[in-house]
Amino acid sequence: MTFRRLLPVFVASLLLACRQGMQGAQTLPSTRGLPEQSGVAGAFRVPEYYDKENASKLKSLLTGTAAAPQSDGTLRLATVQLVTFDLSGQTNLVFTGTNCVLDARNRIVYSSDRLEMRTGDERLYVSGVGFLFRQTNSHVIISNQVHTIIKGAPGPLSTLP
Amino acid sequence: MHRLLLLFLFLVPGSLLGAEETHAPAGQIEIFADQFEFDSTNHTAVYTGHVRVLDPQMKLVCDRLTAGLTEVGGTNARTTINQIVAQGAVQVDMTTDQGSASAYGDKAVYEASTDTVELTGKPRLVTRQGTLTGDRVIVDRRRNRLEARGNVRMVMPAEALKQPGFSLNKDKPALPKP
Repeated sequence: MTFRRLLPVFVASLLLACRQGMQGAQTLPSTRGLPEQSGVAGAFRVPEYYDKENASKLKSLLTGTAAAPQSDGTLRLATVQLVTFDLSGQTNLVFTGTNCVLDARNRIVYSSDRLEMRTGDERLYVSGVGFLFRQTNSHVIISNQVHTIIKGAPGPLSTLP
Repeated sequence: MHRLLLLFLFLVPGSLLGAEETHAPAGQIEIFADQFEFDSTNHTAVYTGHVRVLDPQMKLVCDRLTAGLTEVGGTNARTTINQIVAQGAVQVDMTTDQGSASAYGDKAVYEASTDTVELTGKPRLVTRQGTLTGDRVIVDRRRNRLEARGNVRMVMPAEALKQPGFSLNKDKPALPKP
C-alpha cells in the first residue's frame, strides 16, 4: 500500500480514536466493539480490522497514553503510535507523535511536537516538528525541520512519500 | 543556429570522491526543508523553505521543490515520482571522479521518464572547463550529455585548453596560400 493510500487510513484511525475517546472512556473500545484493557492509566489501544473475509486480520493498531478530553471537544493524546498492516500482516507504516490534538468535529489532527513516519520496509522515513493532518482533503503539512530519507532509490528522487 | 549540442563532459557519476556530509550515502536520498506539504488529491509533495536534497551524486538547493507523484505496479503498488520542479535560487552541485560542477538557475525541472533536467531562468553551468550559459540548459543523465539552447555562450579559461580532451595540434601550422 502506498503512502497516498495510507494517509487517509492514518487520519481515519486517529479520528476514530478521538470519537471513541470523547465518549468518556480513557481506555478506548476496539473498532469491533470489544473493549481493550490497558495497565497504564489513560492508555488506549484501538485495533482496526479488515472487512469481510479478512475480518480476522489487523488493519491498523493505534496505541497511546494519557488521552484527555478537552473543554473544546478535542482530545489530547500525550503519546500516540499508529501502525498499519497489509493483508499479509506486514507493517506498512509506523507513525509516532506526542501531544497530538484530535479534533473530530473538524476532522483534523495536529501537534506542535515532533512526529516521525516510516514505512515498514524502512525505505521511507519522514520526520518534522509540528504537523497538521486534514482528513477532508487528505492533506498533511509538516511545519518545521522536515527531514526525509529515501532508501533504495535507483535514480534521483525516484520515490517519495 | 539556435541549438547547440555540446558534448561538454557532463559529469555523470562514475566513482565518487569519497563521502562528504553534503552528499547522502549510497542508495539513499535525503531531503531537508522548513515545511512539507503532501496533497494526496493532486498527488503532489511540496517542500518549501531552505530546501536541500542530498543525493549520492549531487546536492540540490532551492526555495521550493514540488514532486509530482504517480503509482506504479499492481497489488504491491508503490509511489514514484514522475516530475520534480525546483524553483527559486536553484543550485545543483555535482561531484564525480572527473571533478565538480555546479549548475544555477531560477528553475529546474526533472523528468523521470527521460531522466533529464532542464534549467531555465538564467541557467549557468560552471565546471573546471568553463562556464556555459543559455536560455535553457538541458542535462541528459541517461546519455551523459549536456545541451544548451538559445543565446548560448561558453567561456573557457586558457588553462582549460591544456587539459586532456582539449589538446592542441603541435604540428607547424600550414603556410598561408599565396
